[in-house]
This record gives sequence, C-alpha cells and structure tokens, in this order.
Amino acid sequence: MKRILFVLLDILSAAFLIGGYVIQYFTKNKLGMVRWVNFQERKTREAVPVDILKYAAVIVVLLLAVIIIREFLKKRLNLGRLDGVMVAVMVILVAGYLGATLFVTIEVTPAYFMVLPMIGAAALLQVIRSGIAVWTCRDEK
Amino acid sequence: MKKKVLSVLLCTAMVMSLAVGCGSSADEKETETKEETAEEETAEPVEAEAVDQRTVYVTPEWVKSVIDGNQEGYEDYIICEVSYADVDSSPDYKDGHLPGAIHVGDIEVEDATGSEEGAYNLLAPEEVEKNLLSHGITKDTKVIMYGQDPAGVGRVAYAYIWAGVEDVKILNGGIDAWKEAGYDLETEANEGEAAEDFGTTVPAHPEYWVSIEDAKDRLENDDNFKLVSIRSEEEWLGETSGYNYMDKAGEPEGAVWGKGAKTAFDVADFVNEDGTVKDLEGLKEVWADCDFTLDNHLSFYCGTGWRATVPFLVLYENGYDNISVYDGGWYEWLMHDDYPVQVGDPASDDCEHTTVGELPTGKAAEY
Repeated sequence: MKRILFVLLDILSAAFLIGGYVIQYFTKNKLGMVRWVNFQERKTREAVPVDILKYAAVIVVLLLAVIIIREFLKKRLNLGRLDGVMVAVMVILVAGYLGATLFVTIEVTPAYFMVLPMIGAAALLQVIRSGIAVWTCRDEK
Repeated sequence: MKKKVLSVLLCTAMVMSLAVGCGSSADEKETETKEETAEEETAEPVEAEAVDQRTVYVTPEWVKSVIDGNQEGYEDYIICEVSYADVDSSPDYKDGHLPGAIHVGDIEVEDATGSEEGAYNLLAPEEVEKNLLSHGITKDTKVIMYGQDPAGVGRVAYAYIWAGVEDVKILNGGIDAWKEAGYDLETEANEGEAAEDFGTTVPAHPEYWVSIEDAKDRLENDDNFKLVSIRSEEEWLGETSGYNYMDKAGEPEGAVWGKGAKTAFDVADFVNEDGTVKDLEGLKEVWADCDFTLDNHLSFYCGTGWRATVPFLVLYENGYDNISVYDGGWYEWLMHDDYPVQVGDPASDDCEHTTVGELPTGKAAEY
C-alpha cells in the first residue's frame, strides 16, 4: 500500500515538472500562449498577493524538508538505500524550488508564475513522500 | 523490485525535468547547421523589372532576380524569414527557407510582456537598433522578408521602416508563392554578420508611430485624424474582444472601421485568394463604404498592432505619408479606465458610449 502511494506521488511529481516544462516551452514560443499566460498572471496578481505567497510557500516547504532531513539522519541506519535516494531527490527538488523562487525572474521565464507553483507542488509531493518513508520507518534500536 | 526500479526512473525523470524546466533552450543550443538539401540552382538566372525603393510587396521572380544578382543596387541584401519567437521554435525555417535567409522573430521588435510599460508595443529604439545590428542590418541594407502570417511579417517590416531601414520588401504570398514559382529552398541555417553602426538615429520615422496619448488627443482635437480599426466585425461591434487575454469588448470612441479581418488572427479582407496581399485598388474596394478617405490622416490599429501594419504598408508603398499605426491598439486602451469607448456601430442609434472602466467583462474570445 505504501509503495503504491509512493509510486503515485512520484508520478504526480513528474507530471507537475513535465507540465511546467511544457507550459514554459509553449509560453516562450507561441504568441497566443505567452499572451494568455501574461493575462492570467496579471489577473492572479490582482486577486492575491503573489510575491508574499511565493516566499511563504517556499519557506514552508523548506522547513518541512529540514525536519525530514533531520529525522532521516536520526533513522538512517534503519532506512534502505532507496529511501536515501528519495531524500536526495527531495533535497534536489527543494533546492531547485528555492533557487527558482529566489533567482529566476519573469524576464527569463515568461511563464514563471505558472511554472513556479508546479515546481513547488512537485517538491512538496516529494517532501510528503520522504516524510511518510521516514516516519513510518520502525526504530529497531 | 520492479516498483523500486520504477521509482528510481521516475525520480531521475523529475530531476532532469527540473534541470531543464526553467532553462532557455534557445540560449543553450547552438543552431545546428544542416546539410543543404536544395536541388541544384536553377540554371537560368531570373530577371525581373526594377521596383521603386518604397515598394514593399514584391513577387517571387523579383526576389529571385535579387538572389541571382540581376537587380542593380541590391548587392547588399538580407533575406529574413519571420516568425514569432526564435529560430529554434520555427520548424518552418528548419524545414526549408529561401536561399541565404536568416531567421528574425517578432519579439526582436516588440514587447512580449504585455506590461503597462510595454503593452506589446514596439521595443525601445535602442533595443530595436541592437537587434537590427546583430543581423548586420543598417539603414542602407536591402531587407527582403517573408513569413506564414502576413500580419506577423508586416509587423516586423513596419518596425524596420519606423527604425529607418530605407528599403524593406516583403515576398508577397510568402514561401508558398516562392515554391509555386518553382524556386529552390535550402535547410542550412544562416546568420547575418553583425554591424556596428546603423547609420541614422532610431527611429528615423517616429511620425509613423502613434502613442495612446496622441491617439486620444488627436481623436478629440483633429478632425482630419481618423483612427481606423482593422478588426473583425464582431470585434468592431463589441460582441467580443477577439482575444482570450482581453476580457472587455468595444472600440476607442471616435474610431472608424477599416474592416480587414474575419477574426483576430487574420487579414482576410486584405488578402487575395492566392494568399498575396491586395494592392491599393484592392484595399480601396474593401474600404468603398468606410467612413474615411485617403486624404485623411489614417492611423491604423487593431488588438496589439499586427493586423494594422498591412494597410499601413500598402499605403506606404503607394507613396502615402499621412499614415501611422496606433501601436497600443485595443489592448493598451483597456489599461485606462477613464478612456472613452464606443460599443456598437457609431452610425446606429444603439451605439453605447461609455468608458473602459464601465465596460462589462466576460467578452474574451474562446478558442
């Protein structure tokens, strides 16, 4: 059951990342897409404080990731190699999400405000996945 | 075991996607040079009658005569295939283009952000100049361009004329006309050799570009000024904005209709059945019952300044100087809540006069 859940979370994470890539690709290359994305971004900005939300979201994900890493280090002897790989993937995704939040701009990535939440969602799913793996691990000491 | 392998594969795919997700493929990839697949050059060099410097729309035969070196004064020429973005996103260019053609994107001359400052208008003069020079284009370069969309090519041609390129031509009918004439294509990617000095101040023709403030002011104070809408009937009557990124419909108050389009993405009324842009006589037929004459100052506009360039260029090549493009179009007009608007045919009794801020939303096109 847990493994099925893990595979499901992995598939969802991959779907978010691939979806983000596809959106970015077409936004960069297709006139209609870039203008629609610009329009959606402006409407979103009018409705919600986007800049505050993006930093709040990355801080939450980052904090969760730090907690999980701490827990992983505590229980690493009881965890399998695959769990270590998954935590490493989580770290890469969270680092990528943090980097995208801090350093990427809408000038470089026209679909920034659509792609960023998708990277965040992928990172969050991996955080959840790693969290389940770490917290359901039996302490055999 | 299989699930573990699947998990590892999925994770690898995710990390790879992340690595490329925010990247710019255009920046990372160098244009691949492909083998030229064109058949051998036509044995007989083509000759064609000379045309005036201000002539914009030219035939495939004329372009071929330039390539063959049979047009006096056209030794320093550049052929440009135009599409929206960069060469990597232009499969048409990679599939085959005119011999020696480089690729030029509309984004080299216009804003792509749609911000209040940019509004999809022409870029700042220094940016346009920099992009021109990167291709080796100066004011004296003979530029011949073509593309799939007459409005997209027209947009770049208009920008080049505004900037100061003195001889800009468009292959009328595009690459289809070229192929129809039996001329060869090549697939080898070309790049222009950068130039350093454009030769004049950009823009050399600021009079061809009308800002939103000028448009509003002249509508109110200049009886000879006609703001001509090059939009579809549905857009003109305020039934739809025509675009999925504009949610209010209408026209600047005082505008007149210049027809030209069936949708927001064509200039169907200005194009012949064979895909070529009509000449001045053809446009006069389209405008026979319109509320302006060629003696007025005609400032064309549309949604964001693409379709409007086609009638501008036809009049330009026929020697008219009382012409311009109100670049911001309906898109920029919508950014000003207090700007006056008409919804419906102003000649009818049920035309509504209001302001942008009072317009109802929900008029975005769905496509």
